[in-house]
Amino acid sequence: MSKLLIRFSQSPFGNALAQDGLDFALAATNYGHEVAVLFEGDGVFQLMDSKNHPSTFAKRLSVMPMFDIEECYVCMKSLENLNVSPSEKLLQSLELQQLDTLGKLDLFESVTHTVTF
Amino acid sequence: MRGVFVFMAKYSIVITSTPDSGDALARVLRFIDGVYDNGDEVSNVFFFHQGVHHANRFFVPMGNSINALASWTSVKTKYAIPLIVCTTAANKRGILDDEEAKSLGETQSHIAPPFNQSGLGEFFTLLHDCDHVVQF
Repeated sequence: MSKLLIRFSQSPFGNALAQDGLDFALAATNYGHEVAVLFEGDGVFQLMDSKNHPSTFAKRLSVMPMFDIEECYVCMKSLENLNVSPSEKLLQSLELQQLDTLGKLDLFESVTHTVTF
Repeated sequence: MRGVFVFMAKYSIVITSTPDSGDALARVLRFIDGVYDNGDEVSNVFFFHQGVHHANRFFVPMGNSINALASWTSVKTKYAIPLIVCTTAANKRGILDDEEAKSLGETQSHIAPPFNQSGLGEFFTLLHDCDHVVQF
């Protein structure tokens, strides 16, 4: 079975990439693909608590475990650089794991395909 | 060639950039030729996100840019690759498939051959047989 890595690299505000990327990820498991997701760069803004800004995007992300997306990673460096703390709810529901650069390299090597949004 | 195992790699190409964004269209066209020159094949090209603009037959390219519709038509003629457009992503950008155009009472849709009106389901089904995904 092929394993797909979906990289979320853009904030959920300026464009529809985050939205379309999530649709893409949720559809993949429906058709028998294993999926891991990685939030990096501006993509970590997608993890911010929705009560602090008008986005309901964090709420949409929380459905991922119900679609069998159980591997959720976030780039440690990106969180530090952008001074973002992920929403507590998301941290728990997604069981987000923080990865350093080496961890990310291991992840890239462990998957069959990568698509970036 | 009995007894000789020839490995042919299968590629799936995902296009998320618009036909007017930089040289992505030029690169993907060269890439497809390269795949076949190498003896490999392209399973499908999937147009998603902003990539659906490639399939809008009313797109008017300016004089010095590549004509997306003409390019994809020649790719289809040459290699018979399925060119799959995600209709959900297209409809929400005002690029109507036949069904949506009909329900809105429009006489013409924006997506015509060589493009197939389909969706994520077909792409992910074909992906099971692909060795590589390349995104433009």
